[in-house]
Amino acid sequence: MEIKPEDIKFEEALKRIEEIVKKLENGESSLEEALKLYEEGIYLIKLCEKMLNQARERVEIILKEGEGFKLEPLDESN
Amino acid sequence: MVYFNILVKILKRFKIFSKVINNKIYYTVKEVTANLKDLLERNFSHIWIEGEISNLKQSQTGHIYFNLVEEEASLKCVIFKNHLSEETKTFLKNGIKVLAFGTLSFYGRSGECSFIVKRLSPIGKGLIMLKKEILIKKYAALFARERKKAIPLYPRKVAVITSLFGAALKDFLKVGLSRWKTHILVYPVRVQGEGAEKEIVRAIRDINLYFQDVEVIVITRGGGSIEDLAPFYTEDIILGIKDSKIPVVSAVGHEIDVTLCDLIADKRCPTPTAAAQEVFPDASLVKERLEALSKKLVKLVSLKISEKEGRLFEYKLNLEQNSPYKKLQKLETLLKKLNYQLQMAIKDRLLFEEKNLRKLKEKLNSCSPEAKLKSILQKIEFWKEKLGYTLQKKLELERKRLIHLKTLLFSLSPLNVLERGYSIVRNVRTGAIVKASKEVSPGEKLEILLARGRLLVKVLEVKNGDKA
Repeated sequence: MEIKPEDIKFEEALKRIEEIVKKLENGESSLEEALKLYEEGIYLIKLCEKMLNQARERVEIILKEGEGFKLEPLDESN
Repeated sequence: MVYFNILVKILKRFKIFSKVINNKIYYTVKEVTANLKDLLERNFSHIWIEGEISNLKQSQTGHIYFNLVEEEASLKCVIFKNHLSEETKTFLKNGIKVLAFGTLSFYGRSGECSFIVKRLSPIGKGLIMLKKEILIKKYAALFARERKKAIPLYPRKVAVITSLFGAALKDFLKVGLSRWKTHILVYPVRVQGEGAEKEIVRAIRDINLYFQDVEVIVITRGGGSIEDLAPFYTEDIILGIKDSKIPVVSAVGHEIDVTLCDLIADKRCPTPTAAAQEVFPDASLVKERLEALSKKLVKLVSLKISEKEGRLFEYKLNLEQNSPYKKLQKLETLLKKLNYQLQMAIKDRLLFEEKNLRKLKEKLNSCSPEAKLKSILQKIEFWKEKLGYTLQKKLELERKRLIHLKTLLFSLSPLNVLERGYSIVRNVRTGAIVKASKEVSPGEKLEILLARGRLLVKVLEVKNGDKA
């Protein structure tokens, strides 16, 4: 249950939630399992919502600098 | 007039026209069309014409009809089925610039002039298209669906390879950021002109090498002429994209343009806007989905709980019904019942036996000597009583008789006679009453009983006679 936002991809979290729903829909799990799944599902949903709400947009340009690259924020006037 | 007739003769010999009526030289339609056909085929056979294909259509018989156009000028063309090669088919499209080889002819029936095309070579974008088809055939295996990598649904980092100055980037960012907030890297490249494909390929390589956390690469540019899009129809583009470890989305040109870049990419989108919609999920929809999932989870788990509760209740009932206590109780009840039945049975039996015994006893009793004895004794008693009674009665009777006799006796007692003056004489020695004088001898002592008192006397003389 101790999954932090940086440990899991949004996609994986959502996939896992859907998996959990499917498992619960199958109804084959025991009550303990179901409750555990439920807790995990709710936790992941909260996590996803957090990820969505905390997401910030950032647009940068990749520019060559010597052998490597540097990133510069995109100037809208460009 | 002579001159006119000579002219007619000459013309007739050359079969240019046939009739003269009312001094008017005239042609029939057939003559004109035949002459036109002849004229055209002689002067315009086996020539190349440059033009753009338009109004392309295929008849049911398989012949291809189109117009070759140049600005306002237009020429009807036909490719007969037997001249239609597979290669030609690949680029035969409206708007394509071609060099057509064939012969001009005139069709009398429709009154139209047609260019009968035997060969067709694309030029300009037509050439690009032809190259495209060749490359598609060459690298067909690379375009296979199985090679396509999945595009991540919720990318955290997206790289865009495009021109900084195109409308494509603006459209892409505007739509993309309105849907999903994420980190976007822009790798600026030229998207048209000689060598642009090399820049694009380099960008793909650089991003794969140095920005490995990029989850999806988008190559995009807006619409343009086929010539403008030429870099996206090159072999370099195919080879540059095919090895990208990061999934590539291509959105090049307009909806109708399907470039090699589109084909080799893991996903093709018709426009930059469509690419943004493809790459970035709609956060508001995702939020709705999350909410729905959350509700579903709650529903499912409560369903599960209530289901388990129901089952638990069932089990409980079942358990209660099958509990050892209940069984014990049942057994106890059964035991009690059996016990009762047993007791009843025993009681009945006992009663029966007792009854039997009693009967037997009675029977026995009835047969016992004691009983007989008793009855005999009873009889004896009866008789004894009866006897006693009879005896007493008899006795009573006798006593009464006795009393009666006593009374009678009393009345007859000699003592009573004595009262009346009579006396009784008794022999003192014998005690016998002396009734006759002979019973006595003189000297004997006699006792005379008087009414009151007695007299002792001695006999002095005896006088015999019968009476006194």
